[in-house]
Amino acid sequence: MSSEGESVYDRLRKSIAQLDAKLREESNAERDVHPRILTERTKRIAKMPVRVDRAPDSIGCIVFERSGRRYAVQLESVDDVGPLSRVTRVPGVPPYFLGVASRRGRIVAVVDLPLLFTPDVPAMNEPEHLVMASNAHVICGVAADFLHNIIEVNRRTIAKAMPTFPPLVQRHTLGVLEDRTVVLDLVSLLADRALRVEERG
Amino acid sequence: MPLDDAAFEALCETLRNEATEQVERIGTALLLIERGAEGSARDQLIDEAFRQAHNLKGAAASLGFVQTARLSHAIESVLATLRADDDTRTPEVFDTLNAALSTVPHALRVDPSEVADDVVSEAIQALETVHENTAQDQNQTPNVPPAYPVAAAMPQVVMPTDSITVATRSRSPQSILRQHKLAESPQPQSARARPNYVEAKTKHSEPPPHALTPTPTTNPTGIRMPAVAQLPPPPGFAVPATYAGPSPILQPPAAAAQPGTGSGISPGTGPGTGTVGPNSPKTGAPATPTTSAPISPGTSAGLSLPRTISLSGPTPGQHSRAGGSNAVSMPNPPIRPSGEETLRVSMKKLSGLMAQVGELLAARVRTDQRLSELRAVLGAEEDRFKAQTSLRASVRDNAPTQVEPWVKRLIQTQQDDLEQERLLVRRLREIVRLFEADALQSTILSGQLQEDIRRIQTFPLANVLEPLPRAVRNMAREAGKMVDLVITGSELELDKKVLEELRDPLYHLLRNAVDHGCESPAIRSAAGKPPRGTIRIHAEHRGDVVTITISDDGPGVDIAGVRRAAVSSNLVTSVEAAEMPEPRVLELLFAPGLTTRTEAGGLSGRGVGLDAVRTNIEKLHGSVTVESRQGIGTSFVIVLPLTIYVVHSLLLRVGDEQFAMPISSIQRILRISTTDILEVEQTHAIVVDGRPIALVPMGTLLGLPVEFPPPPERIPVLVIGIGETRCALAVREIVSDQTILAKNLEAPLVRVRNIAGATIMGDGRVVLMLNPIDLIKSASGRDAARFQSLIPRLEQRTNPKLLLVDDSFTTRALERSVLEVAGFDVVAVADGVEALSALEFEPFDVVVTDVSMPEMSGLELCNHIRGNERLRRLPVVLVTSLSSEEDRRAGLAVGADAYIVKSEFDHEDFVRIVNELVGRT
Repeated sequence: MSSEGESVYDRLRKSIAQLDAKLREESNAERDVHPRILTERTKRIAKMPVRVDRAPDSIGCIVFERSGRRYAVQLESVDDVGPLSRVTRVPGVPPYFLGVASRRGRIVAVVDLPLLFTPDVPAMNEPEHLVMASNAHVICGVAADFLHNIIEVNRRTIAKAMPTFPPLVQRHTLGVLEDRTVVLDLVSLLADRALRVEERG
Repeated sequence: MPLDDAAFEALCETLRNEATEQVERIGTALLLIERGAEGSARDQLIDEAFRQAHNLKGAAASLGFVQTARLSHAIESVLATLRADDDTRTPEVFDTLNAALSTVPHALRVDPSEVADDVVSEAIQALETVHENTAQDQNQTPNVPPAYPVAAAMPQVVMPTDSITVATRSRSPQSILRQHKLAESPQPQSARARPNYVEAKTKHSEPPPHALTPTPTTNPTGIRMPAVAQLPPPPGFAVPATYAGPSPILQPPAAAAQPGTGSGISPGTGPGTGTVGPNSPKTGAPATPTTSAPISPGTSAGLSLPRTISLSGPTPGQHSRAGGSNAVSMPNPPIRPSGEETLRVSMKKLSGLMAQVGELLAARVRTDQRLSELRAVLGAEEDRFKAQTSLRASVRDNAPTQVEPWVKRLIQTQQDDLEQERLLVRRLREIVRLFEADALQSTILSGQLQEDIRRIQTFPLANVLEPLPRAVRNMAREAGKMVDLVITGSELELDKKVLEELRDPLYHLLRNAVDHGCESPAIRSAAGKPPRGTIRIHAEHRGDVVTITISDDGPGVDIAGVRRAAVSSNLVTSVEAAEMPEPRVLELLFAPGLTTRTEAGGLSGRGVGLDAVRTNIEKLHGSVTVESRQGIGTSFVIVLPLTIYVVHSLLLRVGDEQFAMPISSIQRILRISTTDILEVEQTHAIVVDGRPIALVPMGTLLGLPVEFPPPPERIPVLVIGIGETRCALAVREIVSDQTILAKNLEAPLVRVRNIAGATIMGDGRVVLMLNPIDLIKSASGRDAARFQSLIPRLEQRTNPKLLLVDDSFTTRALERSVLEVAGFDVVAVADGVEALSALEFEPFDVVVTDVSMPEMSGLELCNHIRGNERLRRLPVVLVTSLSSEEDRRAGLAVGADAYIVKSEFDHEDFVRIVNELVGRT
C-alpha cells in the first residue's frame, strides 16, 4: 500500500469516524422521551405553587446582580423576568440607557442601574437578563448579569440608605440588606421624570 | 324588551358618534347661511340644519339623553325662527347657535341624566332668549318646526369616529349650496336631465334608496326604538304616522316625500329623495324627481367637502347678505357606483387585524431569512457533496486492485453515504424551490392583505377638514378679524389613526394663523392688503406621503420677536439669538414654552401649541416645518405618511449599527469618491444637480464612529432635505430597502433626537428609524462644527487639483485618465458655466479647458478667470481643435498660459506643460 493510498484511507477512516460520532450525537438528541418522564414533568410544572404566608412586615423580592452589585426589587413591581436578546444602542441618550430591546412586540428601554447610580463606573460585561417593570406611562427593562433567588425580606432588617449614597440611589431605594444588596424602589424609579429623555427642537 | 347594559352602551356610543356629525353639519349649514346663502339655497340649508337638530333631539330623547334633547330642541326652535325671517340673520343669533352647538358635546357627556346641567341650561336660556326676541320682532305667529315625516325622511348619519361604515342618505350643506350654484348657472339640457346634485366621492356609501325598498334604520342592534318625541314636539310639529309604530324599518323614500303641512319647507328636500330642484316651491309642493336618469341621492358620509371650497367667516359688525365673492367652486366629482353592501366593524377590531397583519409582515421577513439560511445549508451540502464525490473519485482511482474485505466494506459504506448525500442534496434543492414559490406567494398575498386593510382604514381628509370653516369663523369672530378659509385637496385619503391625530395639530395651526397670521382689517387695509385675511389649507399627495400646507397671507413671523422670546425663555443666549440664522430662529417656534405673546389670549400665547403640534405629528412619523416671508405670510408644512404602520425604508449601516431611513424622506442616493468632496467655508460639500450641498458623515451626527468603504469603493450618500435646505449624509453602507413595521419608542425614551421610532426585524433585532428633520438640524450650525475634526480623513489629498472643462465626454475621459495617471486630482465639468460654479466653491491649482463649448466658451471662461481678483493667477491651459494662428493668438490674448492643439496632442507634452504650470517638474 503506497503512502499516498494510506493517506487517502486515513482520511476515509477519519471521515467515517466523524460520521459515526455525528450519528450518535443526533441519535442522542432525538431520542424519544419516555411518556412517563413527560407525565412527571407535566405534573411538576403544572402543580399549584406552594402558598407562602408572609410575615406581616415582609416583602418578596427578586435578587439580581449587575456589574458585581446586588439589587433586590419587590416582586409586585416586576412584570416579568427573562433572557435579554440583543440590545440596540440608541445614539444621543444618557449612557445608563444601554439601548432598546424588543419585548413582546414592544420596544423597551434597557437601563443599567450601576451606570445610572454611579456614572463613572463602566459596565463590566454584557447583561444576560432583563427585569421588566412598568407603570401606566413607562415601560422599562433593568439589565442583569445574574438572577439570584427570590427572598422574603423583613422590612425591619432593611437598613436605611446610607447618607453617603448618591442622591439618586437614596431617592429610589428602600434600603440595604446586610449582604450589601440594595433594595430598590422600582415604582419610584419609573416615576422619576428626571430620567425621561424628551429632547425637543 | 329592556336593553342590557352592553347594548345600551353601544347605542349611547352610536348616538355620541352620530351627534358629532350632526353638530358639524348644523354648524356648516349655519356658516353658509351666515355667509349669505340666498333664496331656496338658504331654505334648504336651514332645512338641513333643522333636520339634523331634529334627528339629534329624537335620538337623544329615545335614549334618555335629556340634556341633549332639551338643548337640541332649543336649537331647533331658533332654527325655525331663522327660517321664517331673513332679518333674524344677525351675528348674535349665529353666535348663540354656535355656542349651543359647542355645548352639545358637554351635554352628551353628562347624559344620560335627568338632572338639569348648568352649562346646558345656560345655553338653552340663551337660545330661548334669542328665540323670544326674534319672535317678538317678527310679531307674528311663532314659527314652528315643519311637519316632517320624521323617521322616514331622516336617515341616521353615522360618523366613522368609532367605526368605519358610513351609510347616509342625507345631504351635506355644501352639496346643497353647490347644487344651487350649479342651478343658477345655465345648464345644457342633458345636464338638467341629470340629478341636480352630485355628492363628492366618499369612501362608503349605501345603495341609493329604491322607491319600494325599505331602508333599515341605522340602529345597529335592530332593537326597537322607543317613540322619538319624549319631549313635546314644537308647536305645529306633526310626527307622522309612519314613525309612530314601533317598526324598526324606515318607510320607503316615497313616504318621506309626503308634503309638509304648510310649514313652508319643501318636503321634496327630504333626504329621501335627494333630488330637489332649484325651483322647488316653498309652498310645500313635493318636488318631482326626474325619472329620466337614476336618482342620485346624497350618498355622502357628510364629509363631502368639495375639492375646492372657500368658506369665510362673517364680517364683524356688518353682516353681508350677498352671495359672497367666496363662491364655492368644485368640479362635479364622479358619482360613486352604488350597490355595495356595508357592514359596521369596530375600529378596535380593525386595528387588531392590522396589528396581526403587521405580525404577518414580520413573519414574512423571518420566512425570507429562513429561506436564506436554507439556501446557505443547501450551498454547504452541495459543496460537501462535491468534496465527497471528489474523494470518492480519488479512492476509486488510487485504490489497489486487491484490498482487504474491511476496506471494501468501507468503500461500499462511503459509496452508500455518497448516494444518500446525493439524494439529500436533490431533496434539499426541491424543498428550497418549493419554499421559494411559497414565500413568493406568501409575499404577494400578505402584501395584498396589508394594502386592502390599509385602504379600509383610510378616510378622506375631509373628515378632519369639514369642521374647520366653522372653527375659523368662531376664532375670527373672537379675535375681531375677517378671515376666509380656502381648502383644497380634502379628498385625499389618510389612515384613520393619522386623521385622528391630525385634528388637534390642525386646530392649533389654524388658531395660530388667525391670531398671528391674520391682521385686523384696519391694519391690513393700511398695508394695502384686502381687509379679509385668507388662510389656505392645501393637501397633496407626493409618493408615499401627504403634504398639508397651512398658509396665511399675514405679516410673517416676527423674527426679532422670536429671538427676544427665545432669550427670555432661556432657550438661547442673547449672543446665540443674535447670530442665529433665520431658518433656525423659525425652528425655535417649535420649542416648548416659547411664545411671542406677552400674555395668553383666547386663541394662543401659552407657548404650548407648536410644541404639541410637532410632538403629535412626529408620533405619526411625520414632520412639520415652517416657512415665513415678511409681509407675505407664513406657511406650516406637514408631511405625513399615508399609513403609520408600514414604512418603506432604506436600511443603512452607520458604524457597526443598522438604521432605517424612510425612503419618502430621501431625495437622492449617490455614491461619491473623495475627489467629489469640496471644501466651502471650512465645511464640506458635494455638487448635486449643479448646486453644492452640505456633506456630513451620518456617524458624526449620531455620535458613532465614522467609517466609509475603503477606496476605490465609493461612499454611499443620501440627500435629504426640508424645503430648500438640503443635506448629504455619508454612510458606511446601504444594506437594502425593506418595508418595515414602524413602532414608537416608549417612555422613558419619549423623544430621542434623530430617532423617529424603531422596528423589530425578523431575527428579533431592533433597528432604529432615523428622523430626517432632526438629522438636518443636527447637521446645521454649531452641530456641524462639532464634527469637523472627523472629516479631514476624507480630504487627505496632496495631489494638485485640476479643473478639466470639455463638452466632449470622450475628450474628458481621455484627458482625465492621462492627468490622473500623472497625479492630478481631476474635477471634470462640461462647459464654462459649470467651471465657474466649481471655481466659486473650490480651490484649484490649474484649469484645462476646451475652447468651443456650449453656454460659455473656453475663451470666455479664461476671460472670467482673469477678471476675477481671486482667480486671476490661476493657470489656464486651452486644449482645442482650433489650430489656426488667429485662434492661437485669440487664446493667448485672453490670458491662457498654454495653447494645445488636439491634432498635435502629445500626452507627455501635455502632462509636462500642466506640471510646469503647477510648479511640478
